[in-house]
Amino acid sequence: MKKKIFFVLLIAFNLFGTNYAKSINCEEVLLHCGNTPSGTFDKNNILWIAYEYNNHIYVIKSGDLGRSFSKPIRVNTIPHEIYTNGENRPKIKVKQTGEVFVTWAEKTKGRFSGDIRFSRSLDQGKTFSEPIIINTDRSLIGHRFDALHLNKKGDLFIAWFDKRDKQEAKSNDISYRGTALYYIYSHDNGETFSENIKLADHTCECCRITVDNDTNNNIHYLWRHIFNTNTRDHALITINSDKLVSKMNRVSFDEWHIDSCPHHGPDMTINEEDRIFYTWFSQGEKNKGIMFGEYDIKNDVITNTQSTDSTGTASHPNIISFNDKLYHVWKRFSGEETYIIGRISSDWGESWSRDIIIKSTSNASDHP
Amino acid sequence: MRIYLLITYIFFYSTSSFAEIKDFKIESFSDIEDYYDGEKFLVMLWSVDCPPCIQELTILKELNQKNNLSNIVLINVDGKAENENVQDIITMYSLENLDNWIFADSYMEKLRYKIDQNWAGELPRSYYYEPNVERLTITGMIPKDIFFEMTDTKPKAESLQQTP
Repeated sequence: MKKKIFFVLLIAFNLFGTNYAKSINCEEVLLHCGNTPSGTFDKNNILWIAYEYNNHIYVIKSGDLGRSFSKPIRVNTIPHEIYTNGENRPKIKVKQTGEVFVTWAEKTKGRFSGDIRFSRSLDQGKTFSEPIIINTDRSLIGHRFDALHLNKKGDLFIAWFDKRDKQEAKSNDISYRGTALYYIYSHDNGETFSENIKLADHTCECCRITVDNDTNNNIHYLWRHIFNTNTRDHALITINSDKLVSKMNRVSFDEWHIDSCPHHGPDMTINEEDRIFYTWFSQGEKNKGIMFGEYDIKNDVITNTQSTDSTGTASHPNIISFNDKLYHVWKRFSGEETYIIGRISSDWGESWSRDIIIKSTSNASDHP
Repeated sequence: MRIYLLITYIFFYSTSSFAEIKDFKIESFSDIEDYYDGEKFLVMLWSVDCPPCIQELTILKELNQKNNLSNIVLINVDGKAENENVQDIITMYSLENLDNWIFADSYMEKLRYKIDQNWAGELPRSYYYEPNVERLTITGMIPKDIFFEMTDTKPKAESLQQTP
């Protein structure tokens, strides 16, 4: 049991401190020379990581909690610029049957512009397919902040922020706040995909999207939205197994009225009882710093809203439910060192363990 | 003769479109505050990947063209890897005459902390200083009245040099 807990926290351990590579001489295709890694565990508890290095995406795996890694496998043969700033990072998922899926945002010409790339491995990570672009709109505008998900049935879902609607509004001299949330799905391991489907207009344009599914395989997306003129609170939308989309629900009321880029997206986890827990960053009138809450989707009610860390340098929270516990981590700078801090709840957020400094560094670092 | 004129043209064109962007290090913010001490000045933090930041630069460009602004410090937070992009943007928006800096330490939390211990990195972020008044922190787009306040400042005789 303790080993499993360690596995979960290990993602923070191993992915912490790898982005300082740009500041040192590092010319090897190793994780520690790469940028913005993302990790996932497969059914055999093998840790898989996708990261960027020198305009390529690489995949490695570890069977010993990150003490050693396999030889990196290059995903895209043809190099291209890849977003590794802010909350852009490649994503990786591994299906129960061994297929591996990777997405990332390619940097295209122009400002804030990009395309969402997808590649898959059907031979357990030995080789990867030629990456395809999944956004059907191919204008040189923003298609970024990909969110990759596999539900329990093995269906693939990719969501992202897309500026096509903003672009169209601009060409008609109509004002359009933010950007739009789109998604696609695949029932055949990425062999074919659905059309691009819009889920919401007026999303905040520079924060990550979080996704999880419940036990009925309903997919839930949560992101920072722009309500009214410029209130940057959070929204949730659900897609059921028949691909019917719910109305958008507002799940934070911090009243952060701002025309800015927080560069802080939320994170969400859904437990085996279909309870939705999430964490986010805010500088709103009502709430500041790292926040935690639970969303009762049946009654459209937010419960148990708590301040996790209101210090001025707390940032980039994450949360996961695992083996009947909630694991909540975030980053904080002390003035001299950066910490990854974690807390655990055995009663679904009613109470928490004391905060633990999981890792610290006195150098530059990535987000947990 | 023509070749000399061509060489002269190329020399002046290339030097005039190259903005001086100083390296922003741990001690830089206190140097900036010391340099402008006693004067009205505006510090603007921005990123190449921040649409509202670029909107602000557009407003600055218009004001700068009409008023030749001074006492405005632009600090890019993307780091030296983006130096070329930052250079291009400063040139595109004709902001070379402003006091331009770029984060030059990969430990960005330290740099941000030196500027403001309560700043978690959201952008745009600005600080407006007036003599004998507590500095004003602005998150998001700068209000127009602050911009207008900066249109009547006069440039200093000597520019702030970065600490080697």
